[in-house]
Amino acid sequence: MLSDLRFAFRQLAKSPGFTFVAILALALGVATATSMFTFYNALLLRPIPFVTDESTLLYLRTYNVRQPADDFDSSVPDFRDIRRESQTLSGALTVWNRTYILGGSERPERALGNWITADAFQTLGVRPALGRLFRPDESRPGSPPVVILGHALWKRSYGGNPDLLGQTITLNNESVTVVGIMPEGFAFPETTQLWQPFPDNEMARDEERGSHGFPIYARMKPGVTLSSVQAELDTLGARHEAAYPKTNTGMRFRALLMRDEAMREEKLALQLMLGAVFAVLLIACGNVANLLLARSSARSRELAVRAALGAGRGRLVRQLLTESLLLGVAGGLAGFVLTFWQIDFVLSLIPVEIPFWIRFDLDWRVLAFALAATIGSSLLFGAFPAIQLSRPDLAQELKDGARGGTASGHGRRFRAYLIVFQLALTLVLLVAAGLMTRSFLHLQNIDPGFDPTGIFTFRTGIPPTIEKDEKIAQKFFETAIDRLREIPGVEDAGFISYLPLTNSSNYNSFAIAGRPEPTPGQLPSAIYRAASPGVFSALRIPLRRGRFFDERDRADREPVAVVSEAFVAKFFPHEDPLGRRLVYGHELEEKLRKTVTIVGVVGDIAQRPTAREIDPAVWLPLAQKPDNFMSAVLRVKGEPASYLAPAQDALVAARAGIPLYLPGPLAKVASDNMWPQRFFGFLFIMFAVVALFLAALGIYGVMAYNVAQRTQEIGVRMALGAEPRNVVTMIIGQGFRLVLAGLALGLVAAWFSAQLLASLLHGVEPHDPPTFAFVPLLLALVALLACYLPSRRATRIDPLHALRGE
Amino acid sequence: MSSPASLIKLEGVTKVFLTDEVETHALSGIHLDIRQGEYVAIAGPSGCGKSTLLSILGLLDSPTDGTYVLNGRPVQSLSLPERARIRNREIGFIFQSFNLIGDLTVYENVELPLTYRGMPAAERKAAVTSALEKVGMGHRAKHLPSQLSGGQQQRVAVARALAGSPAVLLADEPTGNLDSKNGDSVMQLLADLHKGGATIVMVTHDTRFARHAERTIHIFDGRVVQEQVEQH
Repeated sequence: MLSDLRFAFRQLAKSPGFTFVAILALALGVATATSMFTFYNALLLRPIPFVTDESTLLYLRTYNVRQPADDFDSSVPDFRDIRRESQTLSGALTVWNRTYILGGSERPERALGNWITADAFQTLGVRPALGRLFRPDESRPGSPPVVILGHALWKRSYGGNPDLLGQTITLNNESVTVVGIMPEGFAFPETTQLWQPFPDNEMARDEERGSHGFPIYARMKPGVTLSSVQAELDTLGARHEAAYPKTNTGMRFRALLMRDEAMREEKLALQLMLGAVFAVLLIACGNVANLLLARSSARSRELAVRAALGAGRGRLVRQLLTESLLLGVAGGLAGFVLTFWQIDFVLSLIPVEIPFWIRFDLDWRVLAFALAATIGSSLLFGAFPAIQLSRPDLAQELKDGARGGTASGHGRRFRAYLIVFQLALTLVLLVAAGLMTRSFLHLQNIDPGFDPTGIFTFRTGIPPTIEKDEKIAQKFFETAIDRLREIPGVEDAGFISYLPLTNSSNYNSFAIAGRPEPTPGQLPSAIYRAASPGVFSALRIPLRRGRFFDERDRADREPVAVVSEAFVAKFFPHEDPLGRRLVYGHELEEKLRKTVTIVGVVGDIAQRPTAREIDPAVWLPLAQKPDNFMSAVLRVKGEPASYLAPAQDALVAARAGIPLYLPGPLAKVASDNMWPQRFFGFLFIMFAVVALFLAALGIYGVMAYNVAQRTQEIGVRMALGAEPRNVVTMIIGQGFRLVLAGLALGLVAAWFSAQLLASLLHGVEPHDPPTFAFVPLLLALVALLACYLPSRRATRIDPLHALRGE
Repeated sequence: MSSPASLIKLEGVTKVFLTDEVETHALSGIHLDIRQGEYVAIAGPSGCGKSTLLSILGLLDSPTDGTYVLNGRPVQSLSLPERARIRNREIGFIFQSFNLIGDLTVYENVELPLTYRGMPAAERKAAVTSALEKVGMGHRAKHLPSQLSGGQQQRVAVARALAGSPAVLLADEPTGNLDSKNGDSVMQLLADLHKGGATIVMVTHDTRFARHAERTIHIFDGRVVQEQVEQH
């Protein structure tokens, strides 16, 4: 074995060019595969940390049977009913995101927290690092307030002081007792930094069944299947429909495994990615196998001589596989180093805080994958050449040698098939990358309906626990606008409930006054936004008809609304919407309903950056629909980011002790929100570029090796009068026949596989003609170049040397 | 009756190889005159420079010094493409190890130099068929070289050299890889071609085969040491 290793090392050292190309190809293949597997592992395989038995943890969604594909979170009353009535679930929990102000300083820190049902952590199976979990009585109204802190917040804001347990801290101007510290890294459900018990009486009234914004997590009882949970939920849904027709008509519940729900949109992309990665690895293996096969013709005599001297087939295979493994290990090691770099680089593309359970650090699965990829690919690329070479036709090989020999026909054919195969795979990847790129560019170039450049934004507000009176919160925003407008360079300022081009939005159902009574559960719905008058001018949203909000639209005046063009097209296609009235809370009793009169129509703006169509929207004046937290939009001169400090001063001037958070230029905030598209698009591009490089390397390697192998033949041709152009034409012609076959096969494969990407594409058809025209052209050009370089080398062959070498 | 015109004329041809600061004089002051229709053997022991001489004659190599006139045209310092064109049109090569291209059929091998000449397909077909008939290989036109015996492969190589009607056939140890029977047969073929008017220059170290030529030039240490006219 040692002698095999020594000989293998000598063989590889003897051909440094071949060895370098082979190791490079393998390193790229292994690195790309391992880094992609790291992402796949983090998102789909790695157990959710801290939580016990993830396989029984469910996420329940509500949907309307009229549109079963669109599901959403649930209401608190429905959650409490499910938890109480279910026989298949051992526990259920819900959360409500809360913004907390820590301490009582002038410029306090803001933390994202949750109200979480008191027994939630027991249901999840999580234990605190310090202290205790919530007791059931702590969610009862009037109970002394308690909090469990996240490890990072405890360290950052409270110095990691273990004596904090049992002490009180100030949260939203309230003294709260710290009862526990969660383990480091735990931030359920995603990025939460502190938890308080979800009060039993919050959002619990039957009237709140229409407020769908509460995720339900549930634990299946042992031995229960997902389908039996679903069957029970169907029964419960029907019962709720009968009991609460105004809010629950058509409403049903859907149970999904928690991870499936979390990765619902990304799963397909990830699976396609993994497929792409295996394609890249196969391409790399194909390359090296091709190089080994090409090289084998040069070694066939050596092996024939060894066999003639008595080496058995097993001995020859062992020797050849030792060489492959040596190459594989070198490629694997180099690939592993590259993996770290690739992962760091790809992670730098994620500009937002990711959920706590997604961890990209290496674990045994990644290490096992890298090892398997290395050894598997070594065996894969080494096996065929080894088997083929290990059964030489001794008489023929030795006789061929005397005659100057020619490479075996089926070896050459197999090499040709490998090249065709890898070109086809490369084309599929390039088409996928092309489609994803075009889709991303489409999203970036989409007209959002407003001008996001030159806008500085941040979020702020007063938690309801500090100010229960909405009017005070509204007064704060009005004062803040005045202060913000005074900042030199600020041209316009306003507050809006949800920033456009982000994934935040709020849909509300309504009835149109004067129209027939809508069927329960079939109320129309639209995005609603609260906004101060300055928002329209700050964002340069065009007025189409009627008017914008102005000073008239105060809390004590007639409630008004401005609607979007898409709203008009959908709900008033043949009518004048101005003066028409919308009724919110139609399902509620009369006194809780709110009627607004449409006073204007404005241009559409894109709320979700990846929406396939513009959502209809209703705008309500901030003065008449105050929210506790709003986003500021400031149209400014110069660099938006430079307005952070003045904006903080303005807020302090408006009211001290109110946090400013999520600051930044709106264009960047919007761009950050498109990170999944950019992330997956980039991954496809990275794989495609690696695949293109590998394919070019493969073609180049094999053509160069062919030229080296055919030195004598080319010498003969030149002796017979072939001019350099004849040689170039011959080499390129032979290479390009393979390229054309690969392109043809790849186009067919790409045509069918592009359909798989359809759900990930925006504004681009899966069979996008420019992509299908440009990509094969690009690949053909690269392949041509890869063929041209060896052909140029062939023209420099000295026929005399070639013939003498023979 | 006037003597045939000079086809190949070498004057003072020398060839020096430089390797690791060592000068090797492969050829020194070679003067040679070969007339059209002549059958010349270049003989000498291994390493004497005869193959180098043949390479220069075949424009596969260029002399370090001296002049080489082929068919009335100085060719010692032509560009690579010009040399390739002259090799294609004026010279037919017959190699010791045949140097047929394994992937091409017998027909395609013979046709190969004609394709580089840009000859129309119909003319090529006629020339290839005629050359193969001349060497008695017309019936194996569709075979691959690997399906032929050594003697047959060399006949195909001769046909390939003949097909373009070159001014001179250069044969480098044409029987070196053949058994005596096949060797004799190939030598007979060359003799027949010569009788048909072909100019042949053959390198051999075997005096038996050198006797087939009209004139034998003996080379030793890169110099012509003897010229011997055979009496047939």
